[in-house]
Amino acid sequence: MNENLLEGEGYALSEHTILHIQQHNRGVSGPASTGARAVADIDSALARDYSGIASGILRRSSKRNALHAEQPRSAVEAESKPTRSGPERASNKSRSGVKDHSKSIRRIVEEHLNTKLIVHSPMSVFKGARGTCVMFHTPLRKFHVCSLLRRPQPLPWRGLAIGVFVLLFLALCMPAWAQQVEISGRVVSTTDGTALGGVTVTVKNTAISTMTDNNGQYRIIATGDAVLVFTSVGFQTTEEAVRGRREVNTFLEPMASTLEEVDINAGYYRVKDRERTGSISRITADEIDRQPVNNPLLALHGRAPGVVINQQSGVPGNAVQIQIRGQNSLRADGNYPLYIIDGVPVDSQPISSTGLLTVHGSDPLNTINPANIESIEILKDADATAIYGSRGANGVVLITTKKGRYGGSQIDLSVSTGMGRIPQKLDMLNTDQYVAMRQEAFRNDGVEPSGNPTDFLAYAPDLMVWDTERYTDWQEELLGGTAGVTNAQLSLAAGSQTTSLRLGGGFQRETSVFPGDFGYRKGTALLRVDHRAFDERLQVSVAVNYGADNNKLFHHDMVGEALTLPPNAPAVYNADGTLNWADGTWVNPLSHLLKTNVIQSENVVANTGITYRIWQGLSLRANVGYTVNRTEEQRKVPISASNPDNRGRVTGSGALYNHATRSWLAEPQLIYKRNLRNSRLDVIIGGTFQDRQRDNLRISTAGYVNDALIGNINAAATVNVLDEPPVHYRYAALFGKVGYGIAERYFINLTGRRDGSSRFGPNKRFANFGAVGAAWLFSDEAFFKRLLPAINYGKLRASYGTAGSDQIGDYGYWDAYTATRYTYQGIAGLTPDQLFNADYSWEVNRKLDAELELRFFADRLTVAANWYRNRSSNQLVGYPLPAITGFTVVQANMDATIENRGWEFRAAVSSRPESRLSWETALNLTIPRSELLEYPGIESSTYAQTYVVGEPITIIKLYEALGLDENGIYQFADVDGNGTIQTADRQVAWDAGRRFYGGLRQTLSYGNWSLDALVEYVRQQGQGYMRHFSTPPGFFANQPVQVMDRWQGAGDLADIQRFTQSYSYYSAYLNAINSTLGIADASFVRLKTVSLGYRLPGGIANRLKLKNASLYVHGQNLWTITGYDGWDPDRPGSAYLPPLRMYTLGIQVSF
Amino acid sequence: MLLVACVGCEDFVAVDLPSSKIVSDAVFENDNTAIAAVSGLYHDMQNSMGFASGGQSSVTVTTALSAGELDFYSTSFSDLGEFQQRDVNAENGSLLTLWSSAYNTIYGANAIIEGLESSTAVTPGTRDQLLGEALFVRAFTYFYLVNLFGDVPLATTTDYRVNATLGLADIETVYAQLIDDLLRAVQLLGPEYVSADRVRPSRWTAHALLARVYLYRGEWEAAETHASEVIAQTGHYTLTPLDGVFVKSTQEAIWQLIPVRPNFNTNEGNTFIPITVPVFALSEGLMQAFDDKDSRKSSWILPYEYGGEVYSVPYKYKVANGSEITEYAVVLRLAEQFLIRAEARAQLNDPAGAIADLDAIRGRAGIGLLANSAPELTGQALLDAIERERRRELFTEWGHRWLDLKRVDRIPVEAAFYPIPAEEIRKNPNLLRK
Repeated sequence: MNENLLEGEGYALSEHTILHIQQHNRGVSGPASTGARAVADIDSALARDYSGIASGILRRSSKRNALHAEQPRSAVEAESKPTRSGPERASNKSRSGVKDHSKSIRRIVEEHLNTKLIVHSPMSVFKGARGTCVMFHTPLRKFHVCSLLRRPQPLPWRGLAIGVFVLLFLALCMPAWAQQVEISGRVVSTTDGTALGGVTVTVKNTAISTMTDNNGQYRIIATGDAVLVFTSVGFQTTEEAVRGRREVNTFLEPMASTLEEVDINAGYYRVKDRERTGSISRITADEIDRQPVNNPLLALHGRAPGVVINQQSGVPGNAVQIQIRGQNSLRADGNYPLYIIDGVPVDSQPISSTGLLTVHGSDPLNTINPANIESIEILKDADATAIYGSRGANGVVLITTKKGRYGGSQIDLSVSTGMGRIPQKLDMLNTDQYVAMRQEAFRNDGVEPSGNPTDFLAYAPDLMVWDTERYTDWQEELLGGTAGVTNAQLSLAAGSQTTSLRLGGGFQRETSVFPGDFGYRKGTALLRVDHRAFDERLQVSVAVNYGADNNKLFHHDMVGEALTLPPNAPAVYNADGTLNWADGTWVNPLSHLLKTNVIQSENVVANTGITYRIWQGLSLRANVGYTVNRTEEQRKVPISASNPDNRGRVTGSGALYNHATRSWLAEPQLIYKRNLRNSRLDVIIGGTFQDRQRDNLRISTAGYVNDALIGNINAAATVNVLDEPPVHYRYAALFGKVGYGIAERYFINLTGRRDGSSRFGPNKRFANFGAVGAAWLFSDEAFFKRLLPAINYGKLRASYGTAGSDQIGDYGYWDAYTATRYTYQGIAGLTPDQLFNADYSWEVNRKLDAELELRFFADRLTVAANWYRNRSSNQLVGYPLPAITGFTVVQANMDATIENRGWEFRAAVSSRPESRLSWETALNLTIPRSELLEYPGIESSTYAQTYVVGEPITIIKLYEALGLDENGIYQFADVDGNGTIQTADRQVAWDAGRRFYGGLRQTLSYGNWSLDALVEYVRQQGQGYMRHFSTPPGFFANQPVQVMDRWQGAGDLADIQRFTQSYSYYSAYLNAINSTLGIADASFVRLKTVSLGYRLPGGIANRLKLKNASLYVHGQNLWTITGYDGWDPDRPGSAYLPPLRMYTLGIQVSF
Repeated sequence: MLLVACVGCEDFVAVDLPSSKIVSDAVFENDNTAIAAVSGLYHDMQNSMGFASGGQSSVTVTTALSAGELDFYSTSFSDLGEFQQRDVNAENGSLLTLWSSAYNTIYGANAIIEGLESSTAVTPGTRDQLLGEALFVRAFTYFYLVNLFGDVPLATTTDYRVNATLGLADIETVYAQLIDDLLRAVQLLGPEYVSADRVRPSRWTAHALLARVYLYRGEWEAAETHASEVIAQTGHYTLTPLDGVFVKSTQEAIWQLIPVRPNFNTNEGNTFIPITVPVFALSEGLMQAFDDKDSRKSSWILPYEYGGEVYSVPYKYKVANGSEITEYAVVLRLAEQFLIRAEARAQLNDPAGAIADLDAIRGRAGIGLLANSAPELTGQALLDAIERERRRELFTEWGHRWLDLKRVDRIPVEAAFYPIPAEEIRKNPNLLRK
């Protein structure tokens, strides 16, 4: 492909081009401070035959650019003084600013030599980090010409629109003298094994120097005892002693931060950040590693604009909800994004679990070790997601695991330990207040409390039987434990010139805050091998991610007890250490701990990628993946968990749930890349074949007479098999992408996909999706540079297109009978289980997106504003039908349209690159808004009480509270005037969505110290504290202190209904929860993570024979500022265990 | 290569149904699957917790509350309270379950009728039997719908596009349809039960329901005829001692449903027999209707003591739960046929015949025979005696008392029919009562 460049007609260098020619042996940091100086250097260095050429070029250029005399110096300086962030910038700019001037170079050289140049094939042209180099033969000599192209720092003078430096290195292959030999070798990058062109190879302490070609090959003359020095921008300088060898191969390690921005994983292809046309957020290992989380998605909290992460519970293993740019489907189960791990889709639907602690199911990503992740990319707009077609509507989460290294070996070990506690408690009534509340309630109701359990309307053991002086803080007692966290990671990265390997293992253990021996353990392993062969024509990679976890829980939600147990409830243990049942007056909360629920899962994600370059820019690729997830859940409800009085009558029960998902994927692809005169073409055409099989087996057993037998199916008196039908899903697609970049400034990207899914009937099985994205790097335009030189980078980007969703149950279009759950007279019955509609089809999501990104003052300030609008229509919903049709819904596409639109802003400021105290402040802000645009017939649909046309999709319909009546009872607006308060009166459409949210990240580093903190902020209203309590104040359950502000007598202007222990006012209380009284401001600012690290000084590390060693402290969920009256403002109204406040201390060493 | 690969795309994404599902057309291609479809219909009637289940939203429970047979004790709010107050709100959840489960059964029956009528593969004998069963089930369900709700939509197809907008059919039309179905069922069903324990209808089952339908319609002769058809089948049916009526091998049942949930016997047993706090108990009024000598009082009613009080709970079914199934849910039984015939005969001016039938029931209950104590009873007094006997014999069974109260106009017109669920009217405004 590169060879083609030489075949075409060359183009002239820009008028503003400066050719800077420097003698090779002085290196880039040489004293070429002015054009005139350079002339002198070159003139003296060039061999006689060539002096004319070089000076000719130089004269020509310097004549044209006499005004730019200072420019070479600044450019050279910027390159030769790498600072912490300097190399990254330099590299970015040089890479992104690369222009191919090989043809011009050739033409100019030919002109001056007055001879035909012979291309030194096949390594004649290569592009490195710094530009394009061409190797030429003249009839007599061979030499390299390199154009080192970079955009300079913004310079004040007029006329500098494109700054291009061409460095001409002449490597004269002199005949060797006696003790010197020709040494050859190859230089590759340790990260991806790519050959590095343009690396300067110098014989140490001499003027002899050369440069590698595009295959990373070099030749140099040196003595057997010489030392070779390899330098390249963006890479660490490496020295290799020759030690008599004829071949000296080496590897260059990139500077720590240079990887970050350059390449973005867009799924089927990678794209340079500056050329990207789609909306993609990226989180890298650097940020993930600083957070003590066990699920990779949790690392995204507050970091990616437009992405809402909802941790449902602080119990490890719970599914994490992720929503990318809002809710697109009316159905709660139609909003899962697509998860792709190393190119292999992983089912994103949580694995259902029955344990109350895993209410939302367990997460399919649990067994993916965050420590193995290199980056997570979140694809948001149509340009990025349309290539995923029917699976892209809700966004795509791409997880890329870490790779090995080419050359050398490195072992990384990291061990951390820490602890977690619940971050906050609710302020509950103490015993005095509680007893007073209960007594007042009985007084109010005119009922005398009774100690007799059969007086079921007056029974009050808390007042009549229990000690009314006793006090227990049940939140402390049941949830106040300290969870211990241990995490150990060991990995080996090693490789040769052509093969890299990574082997990683991790172990994690987290105990719970609940009393008793519960906790979560996880073991993971990663193997990745990359290999290049046949002159890099063949590239093969194999990655296997394995994870297994064991989640030992109990089958009950302890949080409810912690909040509602009366503060004077009895002691949990008797003096002899047995559970105290207090004569059957209560259910001892610790008895729930005996009902164990153990969830074990195993997960394998394996993939193989093979790429073969058939001819020049044309490659063939095959991506083959396989995933297995097996989850086994075992539940035991022993006799010992019941009240001793009942034990004679009770038997034990158990349940065993097995879940398995297996899927394979095959994606053949054809890739074509071609550099044209002034443009670049990038084409991918591919196909996807995916097959997924889900099996569920649920067995519940009962009637065990002895606890020891529970779990043994043969010992159960009854066995009930709930055999959920296996689900077979298949998916096929054709996809394509055409990227076209012109003049490094204009980029256009077309993507499309034709999808077929087994979830739809034969008539509707296939659908097309596509998008167009474009980007304009206007800062590279000459006029712009003149007008606003302070802006060193400016990009305008927009995209429009469609993605879809096939997230609907399988087999829905079949007119079929299903086996009945049980038999009738020994016959397995058949029953029509649904109405069928053979014609339903994909939900379609039309996405419009535009972004403006500006960087000022050499990247020190970045601001970006992104606007988006997603319209999701053709909603696949259960079309509501009257029950007289036999069923109440039929699956159908509705004309309902949901719009999610919003703004996403990013801003970052950083310190001067050379300052010793370096810092960066990055802010992201999302202002989302959703609206149900249309939904004909919503009034008669199942969503009549859920959504309102014209209102956000996040609304909740509430009763309008009208205060208390003269008896102290809640009153509500009877909208329909029928005299009763019922669902139809919930007419206040109140928005429970986020108004805005985001994160503020601050990093600081000084010497060996580094600090990284993230503050998450959310503005929203949510369900208040009442949602945690299902009974009115006055009932046999504790309440928060807020209830003390209650009605006490006629004329009271209280907010809280009178205390009552009667069911007469129960419905008024339930209505209050679902009324405007039940809502609260749930905005918060939370110090989400803090990480403080200390890196051992190099000298000490060296003495310890370590490459690197650091100590760190991480904190998670440290501090929250909120006015919220409930438990956790991040999950308003939810009474599940909040995410824990976690501290870990760790050490990380590399050797 | 890619184009070639995608020639197979169409085939690739066509997946077969899992083993637990069968394409509808295939169900009626073979006797076994067709029988399974009918079994599924009975399974769903028992399993749905709906109108035929005997559970909390069933005809049995809701109407027993409305008829004042049952008192309802519950410490938590329940939709059932409205049934007891005879003021059922259209938003009532149990009401919706009652209604929708009935229409779900009708859909199932319609699907079988359509499947069998278009099938040529099912052997004719089996086809007739199954078609008769499906027609019978449809008629049985409409019988309850029309009696509980009055004018109801009459769905006789599975096509939801047709059914979704149906209006109300008047009572006459519904009766005409269900009588037609039953008469066809009589023709199609065989005289012998095709399965043990009478869990699938036979010809006599259809006759028994026809007898009831004609009785309700005031067609006394037809009621008498069909009841006599059933009573004459002495080889099949006998009045058994009280303890033998509600056991699965009973000789009295004309049709039973098998409880399908594992570890449970009938839902009636499970609903009525208290574990701790009683939820339902027989009302004082009903208890006073029993003579102390009445052995139904001792055999079918359980005095249950809780919190110092004694509650009388229905005890026709004696097993609350248990893995061994000893009781089936009796839907139609011989005693009712005697009572139907007694009433028909009384109306046909045959008091002696009526008293003889009534005494068959009284005799078994151990109370004095009218032939001895009041042989001269005629007219309204006789009808009243029959009504009282029905009350004692058929309490908490399948809504008999509620429907009897309505037949004798003892229920005010505005409370006689439950409202059509509001949810249904929202989805299909044609269901609004005029």
